[in-house]
Amino acid sequence: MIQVRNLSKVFRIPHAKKKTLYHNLVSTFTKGYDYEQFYALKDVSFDVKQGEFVGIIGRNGSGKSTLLKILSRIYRPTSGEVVIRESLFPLLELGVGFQPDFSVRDNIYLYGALLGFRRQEMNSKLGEILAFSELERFVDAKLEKLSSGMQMRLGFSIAIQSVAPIMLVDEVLAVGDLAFAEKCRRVFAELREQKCTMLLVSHDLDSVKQYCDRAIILDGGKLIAEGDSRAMVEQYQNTAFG
Amino acid sequence: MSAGANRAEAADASRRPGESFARYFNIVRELAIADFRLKYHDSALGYIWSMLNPILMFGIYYFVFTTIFKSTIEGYPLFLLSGIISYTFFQDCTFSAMNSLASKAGIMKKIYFPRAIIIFASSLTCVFSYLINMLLLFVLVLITRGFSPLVLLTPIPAFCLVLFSMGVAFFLATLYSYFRDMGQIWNVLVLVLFWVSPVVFNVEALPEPISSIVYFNPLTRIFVLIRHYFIYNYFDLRFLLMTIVYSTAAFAFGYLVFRRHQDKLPELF
Repeated sequence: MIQVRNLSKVFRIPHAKKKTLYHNLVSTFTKGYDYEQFYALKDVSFDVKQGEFVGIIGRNGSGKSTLLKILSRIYRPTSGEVVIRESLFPLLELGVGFQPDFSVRDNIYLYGALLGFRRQEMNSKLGEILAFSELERFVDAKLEKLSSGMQMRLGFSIAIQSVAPIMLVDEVLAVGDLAFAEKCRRVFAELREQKCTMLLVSHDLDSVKQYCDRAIILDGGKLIAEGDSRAMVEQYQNTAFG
Repeated sequence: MSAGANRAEAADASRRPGESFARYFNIVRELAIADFRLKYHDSALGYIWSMLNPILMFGIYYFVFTTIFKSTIEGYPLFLLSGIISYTFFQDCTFSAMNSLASKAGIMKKIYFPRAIIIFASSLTCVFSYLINMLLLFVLVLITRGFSPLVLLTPIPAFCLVLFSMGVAFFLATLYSYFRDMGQIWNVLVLVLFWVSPVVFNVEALPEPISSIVYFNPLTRIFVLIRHYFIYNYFDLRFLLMTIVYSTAAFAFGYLVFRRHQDKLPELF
């Protein structure tokens, strides 16, 4: 279960880049001119029940990814509250920490460690990962020799090894070809059977309709609508094209 | 505006404290090994390259301080070598802490884990090298001076050096997150510190006010201790305890400063 109450996140937009000591010293005398406040999220509240699949849709910069980053503790909220009781797995990007110079095998262990697996656990998962990503032949090849689609497939195959009660998924479905998309669908169906809760950020409105029970629309950091995923996708399409 | 809260943390931490420690330690180890391999992969001589710089430094200082300045320090080659190896570790450890925050920013923005892990991992990478170099030095000591039991105490000041360096590394990494100039400033300070540490000279030989200043630098105590055990077969308990206290305090200070700020770091890169 996820409870989000009056969540706001303010970023400061600098009007002059101020990352050096000199600029910091200077700006102490010219206070107030350097930043503009930008609400990436403003007063957002919603609930997600256990076992629900909820889509988050909205235009670029509407706050979707910021929301997921706050839920996964990467960013701190400026105000408001998030309550999450179960453990959570954020899948914000595939292949985080991949080293192009390392072999596929080494990358599997490295990414696995970042996702919280120990070496022994990864030993037993190695075969499954390679089978799922269909990369058995390339296990000792350098990662950089793989096509970008293959790399994403590998990332996805490793990432789905971790199943948490709550999954946060940010725009990672559009990987691989048709056959791989079919595999992903099966993974999602499995997660649903296991009563996982999922928050899915996606621009692929078809998959939001397909996978999600409900959806919320963000616009300019505000939650403007919440309801059945089909209705929400329709509403979003109307506002986008209307 | 009330302060934001994210209660997921409390729920997560209470679940299995031992488990999460094991998991975090595992990340530290994997990152450190990856860093170490990245540093030396694809080069034929690999690790040897990293020893080239200290060896060259040793050659130059040895020449200057024996033929030009006629140093009278007993066992000067080992004296100089132990100083250079230890100072190189301090330098690497502090610089790589700052660099690794920048290079791991991508990971930091996508996966949650305590940010201190990044500094622990970068320091561990440097500890690998330090360990190898110290073992080589140990072999040299055995060959040239024979075995004395005090040599076995050397890991204590060496560990103090790691603690102190990590304290400085944590502190610098925090500053670096806010001011990128810190990298440049540290470049200069490291050179100053080199000459305020008894790497090439003997602190006992200095006149009074200057030697006190040099002793004020915790690195001095550590270097002196390492030489006591490695070369001079001399033991002073009080001196050792004070050094342990200083190093631990430096580590605690740096780590606490970093911890206060670590949740803000992903937004600063």
